[in-house]
Amino acid sequence: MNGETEAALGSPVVLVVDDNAADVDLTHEALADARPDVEMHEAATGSDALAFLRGPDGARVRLVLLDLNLPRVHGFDVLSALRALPELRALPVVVMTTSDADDDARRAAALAANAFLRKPIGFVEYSAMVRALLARWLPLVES
Amino acid sequence: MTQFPSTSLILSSHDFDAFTDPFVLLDRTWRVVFANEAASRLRGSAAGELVGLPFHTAFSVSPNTDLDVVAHRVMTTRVPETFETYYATVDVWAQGMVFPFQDGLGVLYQDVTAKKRAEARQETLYRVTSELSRAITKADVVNVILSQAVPAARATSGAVGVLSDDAETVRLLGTRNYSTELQARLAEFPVALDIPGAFVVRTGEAVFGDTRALEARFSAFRSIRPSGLTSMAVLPLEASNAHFGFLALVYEGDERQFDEGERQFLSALAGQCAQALERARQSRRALEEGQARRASEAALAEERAYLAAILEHLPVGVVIAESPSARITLGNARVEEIFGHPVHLSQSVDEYRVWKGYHLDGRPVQPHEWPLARVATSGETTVGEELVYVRPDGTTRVIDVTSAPVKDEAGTPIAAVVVIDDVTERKAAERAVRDLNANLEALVEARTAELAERTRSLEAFVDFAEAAGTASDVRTLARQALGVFRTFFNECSAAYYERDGQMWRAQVWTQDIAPEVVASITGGIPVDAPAFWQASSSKQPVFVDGWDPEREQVAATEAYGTVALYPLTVGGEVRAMLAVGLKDARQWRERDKAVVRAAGRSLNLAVERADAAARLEAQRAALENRTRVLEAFGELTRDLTVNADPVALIRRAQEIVLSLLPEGFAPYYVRDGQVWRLVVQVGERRNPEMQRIVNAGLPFESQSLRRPYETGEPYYQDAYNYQEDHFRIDWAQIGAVASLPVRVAGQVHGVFAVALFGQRGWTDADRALMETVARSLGLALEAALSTSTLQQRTLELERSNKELERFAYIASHDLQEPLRTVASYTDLLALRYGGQLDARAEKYLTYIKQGSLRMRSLIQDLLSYSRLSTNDAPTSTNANVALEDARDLLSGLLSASGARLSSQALPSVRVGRARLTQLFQNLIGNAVKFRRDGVTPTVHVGVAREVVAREEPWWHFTVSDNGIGIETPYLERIFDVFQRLHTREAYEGNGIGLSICQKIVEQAGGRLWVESVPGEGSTFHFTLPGVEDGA
Repeated sequence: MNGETEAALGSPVVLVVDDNAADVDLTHEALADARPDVEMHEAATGSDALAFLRGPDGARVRLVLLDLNLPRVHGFDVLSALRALPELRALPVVVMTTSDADDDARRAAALAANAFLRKPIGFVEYSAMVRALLARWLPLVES
Repeated sequence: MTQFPSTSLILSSHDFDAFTDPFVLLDRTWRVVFANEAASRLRGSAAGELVGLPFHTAFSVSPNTDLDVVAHRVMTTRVPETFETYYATVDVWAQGMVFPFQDGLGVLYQDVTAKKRAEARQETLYRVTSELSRAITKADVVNVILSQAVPAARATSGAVGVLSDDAETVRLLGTRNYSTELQARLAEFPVALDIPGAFVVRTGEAVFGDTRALEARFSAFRSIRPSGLTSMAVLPLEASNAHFGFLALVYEGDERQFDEGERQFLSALAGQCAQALERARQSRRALEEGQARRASEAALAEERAYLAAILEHLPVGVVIAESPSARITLGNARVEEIFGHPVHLSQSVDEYRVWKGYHLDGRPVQPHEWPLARVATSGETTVGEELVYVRPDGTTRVIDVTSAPVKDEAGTPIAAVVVIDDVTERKAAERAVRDLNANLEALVEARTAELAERTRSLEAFVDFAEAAGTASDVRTLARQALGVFRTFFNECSAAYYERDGQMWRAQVWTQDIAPEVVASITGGIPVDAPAFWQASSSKQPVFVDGWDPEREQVAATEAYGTVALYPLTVGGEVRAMLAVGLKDARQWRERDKAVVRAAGRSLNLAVERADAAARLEAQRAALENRTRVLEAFGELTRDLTVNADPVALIRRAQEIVLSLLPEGFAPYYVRDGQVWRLVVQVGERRNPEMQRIVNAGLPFESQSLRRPYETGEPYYQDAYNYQEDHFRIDWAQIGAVASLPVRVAGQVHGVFAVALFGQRGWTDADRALMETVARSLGLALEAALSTSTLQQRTLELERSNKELERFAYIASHDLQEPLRTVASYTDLLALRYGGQLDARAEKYLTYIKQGSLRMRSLIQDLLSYSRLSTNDAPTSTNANVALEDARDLLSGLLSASGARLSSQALPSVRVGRARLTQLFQNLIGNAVKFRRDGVTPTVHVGVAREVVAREEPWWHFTVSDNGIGIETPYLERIFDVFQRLHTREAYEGNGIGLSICQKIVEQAGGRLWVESVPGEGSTFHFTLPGVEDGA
């Protein structure tokens, strides 16, 4: 992973929970374009994500991008498990989906997601969206 | 002015002394050359003392006085002048004459006070009189008297009073400068009071005097008088030689001497006042009289019009003539109608010749014989005198004339009136009635005679008819009928026969019949005995003259000369025979035949009635059964509405049938291959073994089940054959069995069986009951089965709907993910490697991107379409708002195309706002999208209320355009999902918009359709439910 090779102990991490490799790569491209200083970690399942968050690097995670369509455990279940842990209750989680169902947006809000986003068609729009997310939750304080 | 020609004036000084007026002559130096005695006296000097003195000194002529000015002028001009001047200190008017005398002047002074005063009085009188003449009302007059006359008389105060109508008191009309207290005291005072005013009113004499004199003369004056009064004049007010009041003039200051001139003046003044008052009084009376006259004239005119209207509309003729001249003055319209000509206004009796008429006896009516002439000239009245009047056209009318005089208040006849009624028609009718009556009387007489003849025979039937009306037993009736014959005929016997096989046997007979005859007729008479045969076959009465017992085959009846047989029929069938035998006659007379016929007819009617009663009783019983069946059917039908369970319905039908039949049980079987399965059974079989066999299933060959199943007809067995059903033993002693097919949707669904214990035949009522119940059960089952089928179908549809929704969700989500990947990486490829690709690769990338976007759009449309499957929340939307929303959403398209969108005011409808907006958006969007080249697209949204009998209003919307239109074959297809009629290059879109529109409208319960003329435009119609309050 790119993030590990460039590892710097204090650098912020964006945790991407998505099992679709193509989508993960796309997110990575967008992140790299927007903020080279931000590290990205990917988790294909909810349990991987929880394990990482509780692991040694968990404290560096500043933002979670959570896909709903996950294998075995659904994204909403991951979100509610995450919110059940006191130390993770305040962690910004952005729910992302390709679905158009209105119910999903409502449910995401009910589970205290910080944002609910529909993934746009096309990379240019997606890149812009990721940039906006980072600006909101990982502002450039140092520079 | 007097002219004094100086040359002719030659006088001696003595002559001048004879002048009682002062006279002075002056020389040209103004010195007095002569002053007569009067002039000297004026200055208090002796005659001659003034001569030689300057004029101004001698006579104290002040400069610029009239005398001074005139004298100087005449001295210069030498033209004589006259002037008048007033000396206020002495209250004297003087007239001076200055004329040239030699080279000096002559001055003559005259005292003209009396003349001036008379003139002034005259003038005053004239002024006051003219003022008075302008006053019209009494109040005006009094006002003028007080404000003009009193000051003119130079009085300080005054009063006017008049005698009251009863001549007892004097009333003040007004006062001037009287104290309030005095006004009050004198407002009305007795005419006898001893004061000047009362005196003047009493006597008509004027009173003049000062305080003292008046107090001395009038005893009450001291206490009742104006304060400050020094003298007073009280003058009578007189008019037409009668005095009716007074005018009091009160003077203050110096006591006043009322000289003759003054008295005359005041009397004249009072006279003018009196006349003015009188004039006011008369004008007022005239006014009142005028008003009264006009009122009475109007009343009279109204009365006349009223009378004329009454006369015009009276249904009788009226003619009025003066009395005693008999001059005709009036006739109403009805008279002219009756007489056929206008009313002749005959001037005298002689002129009555123009009226043509006859007395009823044919004599012509002479002029003096007309009732009007008679009453007008002599007062002779007529009441209802009838005359014949000959009209100008020669036709005649019978008239009825009543006359009366009209008298004035004194009872003197002043006019005469006749009332004429045209009684021609009445007379004709009376005559017709008379003729008719005569005819009728003749008829009645004839009829009475006829009736009298028939009375006797008719009476005979009364008793019988009464009995026939009440009795119902046929033999009782027959017995009574026979009695009738006995009372009617002298020597007669009668008998009543009934058919008994090949015999007619007498059942009832009269008591007189001899025993051997009774034996014969009760023994029976062959049906082919001639008379009996004839009567029974012809069904007509048979009258046999010259009775022959042998030929007639009725033994022992030799005593009878004639016999009549009357066949009694019921329902066209001869049931009985009535026989009458007469001993004293060999031949039937018509009258007697009639009696037999009448009695026979009555008896027959009674018999028929009795028969009908018996049949009715049977029908009543049947109807009761029928009613029970219908009630049972009703119950079954009712059960159906609450019960959709087929087994419960069958059980109900079985219960109903068993409740109406004697002991038994009711099983219901359905076929299962070669076996009859018992579905449900009500009632005990009483035999467990048999029940076990039945429960296990009966063979298909069992006749009582197979027969109705195969024939579709009920199968009734009065005595059950158990072997037919393949039972080896008569297990349950079953008596009667009925098995009925139950049809459901044209097919036999099962067999409804009823078995009764004990012997019993199935009655019609039983059959009707069971057939009705079986039929009802079939219908109930059909309904129940279709209900449950429907429920099942609904459940299936719901399930499939849910699956579809689930599919739509998954499809939209799962389809979008790979799509996104394709689109995103295409972007990324173009972004990262754009410079390294050739043009063809770039083009391919563009196609991939376009395809992705299109796919995305299709998926979104499909998704929104599938979402419409769920019901809209029942809200109401103002369609105007939704249309505006749609206009906003379409603003880009509308402005780019230059389209014109118009709409009428729209109502509120029962559809969600978002859906209604989408509906408008899609339809208007289409309308603009499919526009014709070169034509400005116009779209109009219209609405009309649907005329349908529904509680809530329904609205019919139209969206019309002037676009390309739609070819007829495509009118339906356009609503299919993804159906496109045009290439994407020509018109963009997925072809789902109209499907969405249709779904929105149908979800709301409405309908969407289109009418179109290709090349001219399309109109999309849709209906939507409104909300109660309307737009």
